[in-house]
Amino acid sequence: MRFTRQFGLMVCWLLMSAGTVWGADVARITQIASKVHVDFNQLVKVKKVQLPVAVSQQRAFLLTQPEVREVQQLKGNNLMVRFKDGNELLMFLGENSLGSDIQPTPIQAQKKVLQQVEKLTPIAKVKRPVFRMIPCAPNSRKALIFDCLEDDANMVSPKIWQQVKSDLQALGYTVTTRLNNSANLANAAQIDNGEYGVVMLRGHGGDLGGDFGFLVRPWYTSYPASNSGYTGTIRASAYNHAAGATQFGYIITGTFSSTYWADKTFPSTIFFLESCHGADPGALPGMPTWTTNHGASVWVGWNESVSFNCGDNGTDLFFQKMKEQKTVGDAVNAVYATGCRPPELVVFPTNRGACQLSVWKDDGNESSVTNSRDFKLLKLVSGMGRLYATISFYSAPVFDEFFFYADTNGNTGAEVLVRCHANNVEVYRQTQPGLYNNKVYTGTAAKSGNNYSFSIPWDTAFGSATTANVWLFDMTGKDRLPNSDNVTLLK
Amino acid sequence: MKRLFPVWIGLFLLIAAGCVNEAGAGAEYRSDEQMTSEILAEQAERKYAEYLKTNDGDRAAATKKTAAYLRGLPGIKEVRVSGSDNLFVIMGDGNELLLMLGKDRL
Repeated sequence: MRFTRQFGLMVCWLLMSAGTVWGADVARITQIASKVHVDFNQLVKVKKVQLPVAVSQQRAFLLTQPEVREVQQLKGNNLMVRFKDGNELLMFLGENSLGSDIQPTPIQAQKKVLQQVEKLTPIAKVKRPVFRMIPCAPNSRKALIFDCLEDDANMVSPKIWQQVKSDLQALGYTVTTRLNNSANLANAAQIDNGEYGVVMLRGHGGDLGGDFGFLVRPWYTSYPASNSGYTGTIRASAYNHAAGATQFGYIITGTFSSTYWADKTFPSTIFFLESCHGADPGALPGMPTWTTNHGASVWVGWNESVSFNCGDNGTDLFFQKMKEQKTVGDAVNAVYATGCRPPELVVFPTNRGACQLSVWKDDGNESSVTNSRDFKLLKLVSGMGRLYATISFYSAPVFDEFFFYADTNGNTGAEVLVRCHANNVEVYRQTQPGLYNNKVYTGTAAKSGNNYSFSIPWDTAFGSATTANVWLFDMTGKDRLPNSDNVTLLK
Repeated sequence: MKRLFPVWIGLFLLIAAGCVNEAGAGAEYRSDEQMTSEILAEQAERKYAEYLKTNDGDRAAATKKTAAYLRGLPGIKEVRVSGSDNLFVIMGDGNELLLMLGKDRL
């Protein structure tokens, strides 16, 4: 009897201990969130402290907590709290937040956010490819345009998907389009498998209070079945201009992306959301965070509800600027300058504004050229004062030397020659027409698989020139990339 | 009879205008109607457009008012405002629907 009682007590103690350990993080976060909400309400409602001042005070309090790593003040006086253990919490303090009259209590709301984030947290550590260009640029020349509203309202002519496609093709991207009913759940689930360097999504978007929802095709005239056949979908309604009626469809959420975009890591992909709320602070903890933690370099979208007019024109200008080899930050600033706001087109994470698109040029497999010397693809990008080049061959490269020429003044002929050897590169400036005797730089080169890469300092190689028109030539293999003309890279 | 002709014309035009207006705006929900998701979505869109007009294009205010309207409909368990122009509705039978309100929005 005594043994049974002691055994019972021990089991009870073990369970309690386990409960304490397992529940510690969430309990502590809930405790902090609860205190912030109680104090915040006291400040605003009783002491009549102004909302921004009260939010600042709560932010300062949060920063004093040992568990808190970072507190970011978001639009609408909301706070994004990042804890040292990796948990994140969006605290809805602003007066417009989740403004339902019968809102759940703050604690309930916070618990819901916590659950959402927890569901999305098991993120595989991103394994960056070994050969990654140092500037933030996609590592794939494949691009996807996923336009759910191609047959709906369109404000620019030619339609926006055609203009974006043309801009991307000008930089050497191969573009896959999924339009209307092809922009469906099945194809959305495959977005990671496509290994796209650029993904442009156009469609209706919603802020789910801690996640982003994106409405995919097809439309349904009546309320569809709850089971879409995919995890992480919610039924939604929106106005279909083509039908002239409010219709139904499925939105994909952060759970959808974490379930189906887990096969392949995104190759430093630039995601562009032409949708409402694509980068709304209330949407960021879900799909955008999961995607950028899974290899995507940047997620660009509007921070609130956007009209078709501002959406189409903003997207058009953004990709024009990207075609001009501007950075994401420059392109976003150009859209801001048009005045078509609010809402604003914003970059997430905010420190990825320097991302840009690489310039690509391919070359066919020539039967007369040995594969190990046969140029397949050239990738160029400039950034941080250097030119970065990767040359792919049809098999692992084997060569003594090939030439990388650059014309910097727009006249026929190159002013700069880069002699590319197996392990290093030498940069020469032209001394007389056709003679390159002035060596200005020596650097290392690296081979990996079928790729050969190097970088050279821009000013040392090209002086004050802001443009380099590049081509490759192999004396032995008699191969040239491109076969005629050149590839333009801007500083 | 001749004197009544303009009155008949006037009446006809009044009725015709009423019909056009009704067709354009969608019908108001009648309490004897069975509430369905289709009716809910249509009513929400219609009310949102109405509130948007009366609130000088203020989406957040129109959304909040639409939420209040929907809460008064039968068969609606919960309506949550989600962002400036989305409503998350849980119906009496447990079915859920995200209403993306507005015609000129992505």
